[in-house]
Amino acid sequence: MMKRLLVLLAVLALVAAACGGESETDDTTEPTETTAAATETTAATGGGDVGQAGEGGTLAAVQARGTLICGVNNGVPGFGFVDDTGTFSGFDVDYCRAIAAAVLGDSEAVEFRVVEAADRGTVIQTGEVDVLIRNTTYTQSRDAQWGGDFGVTTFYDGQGFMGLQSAGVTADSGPEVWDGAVVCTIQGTTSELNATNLAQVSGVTIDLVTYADADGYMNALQSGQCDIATTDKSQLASRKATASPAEFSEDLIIPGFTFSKEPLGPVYQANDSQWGDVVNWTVFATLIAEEKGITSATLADYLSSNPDDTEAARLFGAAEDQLQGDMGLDPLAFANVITQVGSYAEIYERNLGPDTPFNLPRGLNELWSNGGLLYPPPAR
Amino acid sequence: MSTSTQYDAETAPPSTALHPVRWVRDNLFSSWWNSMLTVVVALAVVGALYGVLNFAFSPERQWNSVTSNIRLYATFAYPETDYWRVWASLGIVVVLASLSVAAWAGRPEVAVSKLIRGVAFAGAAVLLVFVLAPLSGGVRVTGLLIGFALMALAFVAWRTVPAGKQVPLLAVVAALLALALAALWVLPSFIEPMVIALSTTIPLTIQFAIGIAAYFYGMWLGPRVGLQRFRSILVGLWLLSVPLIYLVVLRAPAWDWDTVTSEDFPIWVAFAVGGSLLLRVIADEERKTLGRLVAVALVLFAIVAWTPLVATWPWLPLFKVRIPLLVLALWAMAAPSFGGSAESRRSTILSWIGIATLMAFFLAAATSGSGLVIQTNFIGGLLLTLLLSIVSLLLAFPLGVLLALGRTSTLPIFRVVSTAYIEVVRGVPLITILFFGALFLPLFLPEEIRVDSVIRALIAISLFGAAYLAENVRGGLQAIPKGQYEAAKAMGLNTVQMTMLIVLPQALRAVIPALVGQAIAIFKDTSLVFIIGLTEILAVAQKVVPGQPSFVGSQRENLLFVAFVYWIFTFTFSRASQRLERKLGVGER
Amino acid sequence: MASMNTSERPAQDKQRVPLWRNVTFLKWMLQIVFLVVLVGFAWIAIRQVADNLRRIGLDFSWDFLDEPVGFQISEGIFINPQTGWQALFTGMVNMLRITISGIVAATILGVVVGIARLSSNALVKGVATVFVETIRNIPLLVQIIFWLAFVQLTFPRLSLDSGPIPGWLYVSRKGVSFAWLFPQDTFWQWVVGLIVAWLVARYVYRRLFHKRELTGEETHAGMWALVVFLAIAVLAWFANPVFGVLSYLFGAITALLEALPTIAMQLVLAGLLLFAAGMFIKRFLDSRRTPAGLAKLTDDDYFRLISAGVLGAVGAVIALVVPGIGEAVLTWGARFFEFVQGKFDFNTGPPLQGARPTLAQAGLFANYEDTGLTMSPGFFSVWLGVVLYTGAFIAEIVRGGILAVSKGQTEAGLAMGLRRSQLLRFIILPQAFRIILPPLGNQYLNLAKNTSLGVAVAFPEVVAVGQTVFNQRGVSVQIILFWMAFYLMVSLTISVIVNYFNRRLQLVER
Repeated sequence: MMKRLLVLLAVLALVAAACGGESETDDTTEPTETTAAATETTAATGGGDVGQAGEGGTLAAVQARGTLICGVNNGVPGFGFVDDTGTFSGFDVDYCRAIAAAVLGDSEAVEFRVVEAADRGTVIQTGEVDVLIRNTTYTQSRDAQWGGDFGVTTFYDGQGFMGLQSAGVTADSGPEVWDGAVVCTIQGTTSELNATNLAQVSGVTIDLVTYADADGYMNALQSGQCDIATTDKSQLASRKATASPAEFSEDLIIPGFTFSKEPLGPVYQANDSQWGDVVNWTVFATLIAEEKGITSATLADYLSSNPDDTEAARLFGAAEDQLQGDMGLDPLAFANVITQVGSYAEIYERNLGPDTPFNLPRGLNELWSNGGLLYPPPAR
Repeated sequence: MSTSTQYDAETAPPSTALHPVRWVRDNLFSSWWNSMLTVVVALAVVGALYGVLNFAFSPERQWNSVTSNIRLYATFAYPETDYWRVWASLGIVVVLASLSVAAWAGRPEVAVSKLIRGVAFAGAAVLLVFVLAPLSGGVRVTGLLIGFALMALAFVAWRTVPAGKQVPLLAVVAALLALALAALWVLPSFIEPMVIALSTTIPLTIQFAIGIAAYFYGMWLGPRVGLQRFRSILVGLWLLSVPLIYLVVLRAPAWDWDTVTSEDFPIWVAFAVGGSLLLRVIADEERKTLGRLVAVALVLFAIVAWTPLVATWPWLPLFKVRIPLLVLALWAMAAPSFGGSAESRRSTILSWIGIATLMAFFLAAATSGSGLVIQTNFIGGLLLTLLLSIVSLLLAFPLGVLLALGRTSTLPIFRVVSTAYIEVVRGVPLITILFFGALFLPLFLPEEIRVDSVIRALIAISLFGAAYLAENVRGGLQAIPKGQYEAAKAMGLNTVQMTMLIVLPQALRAVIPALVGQAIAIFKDTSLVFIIGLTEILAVAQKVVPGQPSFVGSQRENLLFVAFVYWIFTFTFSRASQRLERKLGVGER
Repeated sequence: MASMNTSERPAQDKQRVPLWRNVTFLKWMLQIVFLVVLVGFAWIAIRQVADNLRRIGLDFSWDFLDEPVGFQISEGIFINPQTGWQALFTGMVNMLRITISGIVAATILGVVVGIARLSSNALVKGVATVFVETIRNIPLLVQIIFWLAFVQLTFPRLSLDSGPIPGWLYVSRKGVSFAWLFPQDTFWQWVVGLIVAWLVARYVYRRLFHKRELTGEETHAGMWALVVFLAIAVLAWFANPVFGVLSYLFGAITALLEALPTIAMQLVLAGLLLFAAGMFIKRFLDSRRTPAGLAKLTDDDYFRLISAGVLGAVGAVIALVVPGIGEAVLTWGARFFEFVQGKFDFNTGPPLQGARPTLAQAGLFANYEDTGLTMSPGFFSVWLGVVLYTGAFIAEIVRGGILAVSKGQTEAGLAMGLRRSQLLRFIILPQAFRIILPPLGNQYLNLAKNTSLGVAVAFPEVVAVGQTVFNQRGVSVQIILFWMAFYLMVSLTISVIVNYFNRRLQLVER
């Protein structure tokens, strides 16, 4: 009996092995079937003249699939995190939702894929995600070597450092306080390169320790294992704001000194300009909405009370001469972005603004008209 | 009864062994060297405990980050509206587990003296904790009272219960579970910030009741079906439960009836009917040689079906055709060895039809889209950890057996290839294989194929685990006496029959403890899948919870919690494996 | 295996059996088909990878090894690596540091805890059991992170007046720094002296031991050998420049390699390969030779002989046809010997120099100077993590090994009047060691592989550094291959060493 049982077990295990393999089918057979469907869908949504959209590419794939696969972070407060009900939230996550709203008309039609810092290049290279919005700095080397293209910057950041007032760091401190210090940062980021570079050009010797995550350097800083923590200022500020206990949080100081440019934005696979247009214009739409003072609640009112604003009418699909169709999108694509997710100001306030624990000032991330760097091209 | 206790305690040997003072003298202070050792070790333990408790009970710790994220720990982002599916899966496991306890364990008993010692140690531990921990006066007093109460309970029991009395172990376990369950209901009304939703307590209570009912049903059913048969059926059900839970219950396939009627159904009919006819021909005593040649041809064809050579053929590139084809080919290879009499031929064919049906059902479920409204991989947290461990173990097992057979084979090419595979995989860390899975797998496959991250992790862990399992199985194979081979040969068995009927059953039984050890190792190793962007329980503690704005910087307490969860699972496993080891009498060579 | 002989028999009456029933033919056919399928799939996969790489626009080049990397590493040989290779090399050395010191410590800990688990003291036994059951059942990653937390929470902060023994030992949250002996320029000259001392001492030991066996007189072989070794070692400490003579030897080899034409090297390589294959075949045949003549060779034996011959011949042909190989051997050989020559430069001075740790405060923060030996918190956490984890597994192996030594041995030892400690040392452990060595080797392999978790606590071992490199340069495929090759090399080295001792320890019974 035992023997027969074991034989049965072995055979069933073999079958199980086979069944394990089968789930690939799910993903394998689909694309072949879907490419055809993709063309149909695109043709249907895009209206008459969507020649280029029919050729496939990421847009067609996303529309056929019905969900957007967005590479995000699951552990950066304010930018990409998961709340206790399992919902993804944050500034970057909201831009994923915005793109889904534009492409699919539903900001919930996103499948989030968690991407580790060190794997960002790979998921772009292999096309595993449709778009990666995960605190990624736009640099020449990444543009050249990752096999991806960078979209328009959603958040202008710069690297700074954080130290303890009790140790003598002041608001005016510069790289000279780094001399002989243990400097901590996050592994696999541009911060690592910038810190090395700054130490070299300022002629100070440092001990550079690279942690896998922000909790790592914060614990090290609190304990005195590190003297200085350095990374993007937005992250430092949010960490300072949420550090506990309160005495530690008050002791932390971020000097005004900034030593790098960190434009953070979406990344997608190279050589897909149609998809690039969709991603970028989603961002621009949120910016233009802010320029015009439109919010998710006021879009309809604005369009009806400002019939002269032909730009808004075109962009938000209220006019006949809308251009979304040419992009392979629904005429109401960007209207959906605003009504379902909101303008740039709304997204910022919701995730990083005064009502959040971080209370990050807008700084460079103001509209150009308010002295910031956000300068969307006209929707014409 | 109670009047004779005094007398018993002084004369009966078992009671003296229990006498606390004598026990302490004999076991802790038997010589000056032992006394010194005891004092030094005791001081070290108290010191370490003091440090740990100071850390755990410090007011800086945000323990509410753990309690408010229990759902993320259990299932991560599994959609709330479909949560009943998780409970249903747990229900399946509970029912099977209870039936298995009925089938294998029967009515074990435990000595009351052991329980009393357990209660006494628990009481001592509670006292130690509440003395050392930095707590406010009220809490400390409550804790100390509980500790004293436990000690007193143990003392009273020791004086009253006659030595050598046994009680049913399962009743004790059930009572403890019931106590824990009751605590879930009652505790939140005493401890202020603690909230346990009814959506947790009610299903858990139902599961508990179902489990007990299933146990008694099993006790009733077992003898009626025949214990051996009952156990075989249970093993089959356990194996079936894995794809059933993963592919059907949790994944919630959205059946596309058009595809089912136009693809899945015809394929099933073709395989069931065509396969049966083929097996009927092959398994015939008269046509053994022809049968073997046909089977070999079928295997070759099934292999070729996986290459791009046949990519343009109709049907063949579909996974739901390729996989049954391969299984049918293997079945056909084995059939001539086990065919022969009309009865065995019939069972070969009937089992094929059964397998083909199950395969068709699960393949149809897997290839249809998921009906869940998901945000990310539908599975995560502890659920993912368990799933990865169990499924990868099931996948690694046959591969490991094949590799072990290959490595001990007399056929040099098989041996070289198996040995090379085993040594290379065992020579590199799992982390590199996972990176390999994350980066290479997409590169190996054509552009249009995307492999789900869970599948990728499963493949990587299975390939890794197979090499280790193979070494364990090889140990079992080498332990088989030469006489077994010779006897098998003398009986006229061929190599396949000898391996399947004589060698493997013995080898596998000899290495069961080692296999359980490997299962534990795989369970712990799954904590590395965060590399491919999966969020299992450790990733929740390490990244997700500390990433929530309200719980920034709570990594350490969450990791401590997860360490505890892991410990409970692996400790239970390893204890179970030790029991198994004693029961089988292996490992005492 | 046993089945071989029985399955051979049908082959004798070949002419009567049709080809498709000939077992030998079928076996080889099966294997060849298997090989073809395997190679076919590998070929398809590789082509697919190449296609995909081209499609994404990635080139598979190793140039990054020689190009600047631009990041700093917290500890190791090259803190400011100039090239990718230097960065990875630093990571590899850091990994080896943990592996080697960890293996030693884990073995000691494992033996102690394994014995403690069998102690007659209930508390010691209980604590050892709790230790093993806790450590074994929690993922190592969590443990490593907790050891870092342990450093961060319990060690004192570093300041200029830190302790505990100023000038000798500092313990702080920035690590542990202590006095240490560091090799100087003359170190390698002294090492040669030590080798000479060891050889002479071994000779003395053998002579005296032999004499004792012949005459039965107590010759104190071990003591004399130690005296001779120490005497020569001390002499060499002062006279080490003498060994600078070796620089002429290595200089000559370097010059020879530089002067040798490539074709000569190619011939030498080809000759060596053929010679090695020939030696293998000869030895193999010798081992199969019985007094009654050459034993019947099995399929397997033929396979070994043929593959040895084929591999040797193919290797020789490749060495002859591809001049690059000979050239590489020449240039790298010359570089290597030049490097070695540099170690023997008639330097004077002591081979080892002690150095004490010092503290410095350049600006606001106190930090260790690199005079003493410093164990960073990351190193400490990984090291302690793998040592405790592996130690717990080793303890179980040791316990099993001790229990496996038959009880009669213990009783015989006690009957001879040995004390418990003597019993353990002279009777039980030597026998148990034979049982525990093979599984111990597996644990060493696991320890080496587990060091790859260092990234979690900011320890720059090879995986952490590699991850940084591929993230900055986008060379993921190359880095993964690099990791695998490196870990395989380390694992194979450990296996070879353990197997060597295993063979020496095995009882020669039959």
